[in-house]
Amino acid sequence: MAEKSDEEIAAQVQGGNEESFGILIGRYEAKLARYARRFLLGKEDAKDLLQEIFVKAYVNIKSFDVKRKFSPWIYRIAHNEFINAIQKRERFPSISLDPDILFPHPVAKETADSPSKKKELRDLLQRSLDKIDAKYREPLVLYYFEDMDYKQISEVLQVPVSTIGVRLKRGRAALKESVGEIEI
Amino acid sequence: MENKNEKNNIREKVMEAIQSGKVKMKPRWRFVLNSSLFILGVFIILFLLLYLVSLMAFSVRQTGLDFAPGFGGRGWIYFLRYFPWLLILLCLIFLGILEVLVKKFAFAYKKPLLYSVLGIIVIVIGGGLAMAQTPLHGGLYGFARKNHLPLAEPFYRHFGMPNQVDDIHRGTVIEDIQGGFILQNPIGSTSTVLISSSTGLPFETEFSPGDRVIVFGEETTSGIRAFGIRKIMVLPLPPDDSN
Repeated sequence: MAEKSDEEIAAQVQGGNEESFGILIGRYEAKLARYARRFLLGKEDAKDLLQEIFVKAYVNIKSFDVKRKFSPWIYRIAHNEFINAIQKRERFPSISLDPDILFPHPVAKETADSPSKKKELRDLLQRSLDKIDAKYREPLVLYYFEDMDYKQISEVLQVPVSTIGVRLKRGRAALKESVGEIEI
Repeated sequence: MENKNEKNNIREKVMEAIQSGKVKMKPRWRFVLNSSLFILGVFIILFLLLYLVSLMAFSVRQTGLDFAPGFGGRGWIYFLRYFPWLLILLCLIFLGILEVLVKKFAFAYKKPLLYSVLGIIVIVIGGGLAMAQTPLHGGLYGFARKNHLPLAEPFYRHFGMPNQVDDIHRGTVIEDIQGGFILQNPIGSTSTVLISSSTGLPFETEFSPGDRVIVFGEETTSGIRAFGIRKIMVLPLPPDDSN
């Protein structure tokens, strides 16, 4: 029997089958832990944050539209939790005043990195994430480690797709600067 | 191993909290209610913006400022000096609030902020100017004149008063005199309007008794030294019904 999709399981939870929520936790725990570790650089208690994310996801599960993808929805909850955690320790730029969001960026199109180039960048990023600003670090983590496309990242961060392209480009430039003159 | 235990820990703790009833799902109606209130809030702010823009247009028309740019540079100075900037400030505040609310919708956050801001501005200006063509403000101003608009009366008296700008005068020509004419304003009082070679007369050069006019100029002891005069079709209602 084919494995049920996240959306089908979410629908079961919405219908009152609370046990099914355990399956969703099982599917997303490792992914979100990895996202937390790379985005927050291990500076916050990821365990507490993860618990909070799953509790919020359960409490608000009836606001989830089962016709849409579950993954960006739960990553959005995680993003909000992580931003709150970062804001508790440092000033995070106000999204509404960010010129990346304010103006259109027609040149920022999705690039098709080859698997080998993606792996190379992933290795470089792994070593240098702490040197990249949180604003650029997050899309890099979602794109290179969580394998999301621009559209999914745009839904998680709630910014235009073109802005994702700009941030990834700037993130890669920051990475290049931090690791020296390596071909990226 | 430790990592696996930790993982199970998170799952167990969350599931335990759910099963014990400590953590409960919010019912769907709460989200429906929240969304409805949110959309209602968006519409209320949008309506407020339309109202403010239309009031701005009404105020500019009532004070006669809409004629000012027709008198060149000096007219523009008048226009900018007496423009209801307070209403612009209020509009900007509500525009900011509306933009923050609208950005929660996918159709808005998926596009650059500039697009949604421009979209809102176009809707608000277009809708506001259309609303200004309706009898809404004229009617409310009429109520304010009769003291039948308890809360908004001071507001309408301030923004709707035809004579709130000292240097703009409107009325009917009642008599021709050497170098000018006698003007009677809607309240009934009269002033002498002095025309000189520097007076801007963009459309007409002759004024006869019975003409309705708007005069831009400073009032001195000898009369109003007009720097611009134009014939108009309609005179505004005086600020008080008793007058």
